[in-house]
Amino acid sequence: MINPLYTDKNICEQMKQAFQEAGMIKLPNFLMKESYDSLSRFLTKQKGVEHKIPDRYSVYRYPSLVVSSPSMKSIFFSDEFRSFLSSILGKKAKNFTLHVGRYGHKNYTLIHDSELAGKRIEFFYCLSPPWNPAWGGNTVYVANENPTVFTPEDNSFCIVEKGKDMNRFLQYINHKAGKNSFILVEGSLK
Amino acid sequence: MIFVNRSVAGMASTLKDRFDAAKPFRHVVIRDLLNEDMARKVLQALKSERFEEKESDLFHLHQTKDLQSTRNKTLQELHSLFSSKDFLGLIQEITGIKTKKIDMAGSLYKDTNYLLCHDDQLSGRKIAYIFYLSESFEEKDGGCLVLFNSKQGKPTTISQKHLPLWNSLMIFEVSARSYHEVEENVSTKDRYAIGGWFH
Repeated sequence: MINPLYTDKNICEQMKQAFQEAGMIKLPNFLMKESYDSLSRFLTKQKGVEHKIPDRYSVYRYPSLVVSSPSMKSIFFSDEFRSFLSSILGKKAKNFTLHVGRYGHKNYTLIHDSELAGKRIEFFYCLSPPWNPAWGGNTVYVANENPTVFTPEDNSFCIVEKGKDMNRFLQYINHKAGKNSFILVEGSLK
Repeated sequence: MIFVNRSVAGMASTLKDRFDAAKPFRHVVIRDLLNEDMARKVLQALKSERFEEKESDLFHLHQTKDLQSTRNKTLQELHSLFSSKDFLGLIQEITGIKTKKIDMAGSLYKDTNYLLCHDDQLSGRKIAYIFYLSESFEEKDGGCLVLFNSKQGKPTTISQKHLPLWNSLMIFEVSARSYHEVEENVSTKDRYAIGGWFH
């Protein structure tokens, strides 16, 4: 399921160290081909429902039935995933919340006061066509002058330690994206 | 108010009625604000100002510094006009709101630029204004000012879209309901405007 490179003990130790130092880590080619193909096939044929509060977000959110489907469960609620997460975080990855959303032209999320509450770990897995950062859609974490930017990348997995004063937003996706859209499986835990 | 189109002052009472009756919050558009020659001069002057690219979660656009400090004579004249007693008096006549000073900056929305939904509320801002200097914008080009309905202080659905019409001035009352956005410019036309707030 997970690329064996990322479950190797020595590599895990290096990733844990890198995560502790930088507070974030991006892992390309995260899922093995079979799991990637099956998840991708399942999620791309699902329909999201538009969720929009104009001064907060605009996204096509997938219903909870999709989130708790066998395809999702077999990956993101598996012992393997939990154990992988725990090894990078250096602590037991207890219950986490999961959302799945699709982002295309005109979608965005804004920084909002209610999002500021406390420290937490956020992670997101991405399914995306080749993406040009100039189209927007980049996930941006801002804590001080230098933002950290994650451009959508197919089959990539990111973990971020979101500090108390750190804000996150997803840049508005402009018309240059055309009909392209990407899917994010987003999770967070305290 | 030498540059203002003569018919504007004579329309104050009509404009007041429109402002008060406007939904989803009080606003009005004043068409042909300046004499045509002056409007052209202002656009030329604005094009020669230095614009800085600005980007955040809420916007991606280009903006000048506050035009109070401009060295350009035409823009100095425009700033003096907007902050003059006569002009503030006209704005008060239309809105019923007394203001004493202004902020003023130029904005430029290039292809893909936008400003997402917000209410403009910040200490001292009473009336927002946008003086449009873009030509030939059509609805298919984007760049409209979008006004939102709101419920319990939260924006909901789109109420109105205003095209950025050449030489027109949009004013609206800043309040907890004044949710608005500038649609993405999806054309290759440059959308120029001068805007700010009456304080």
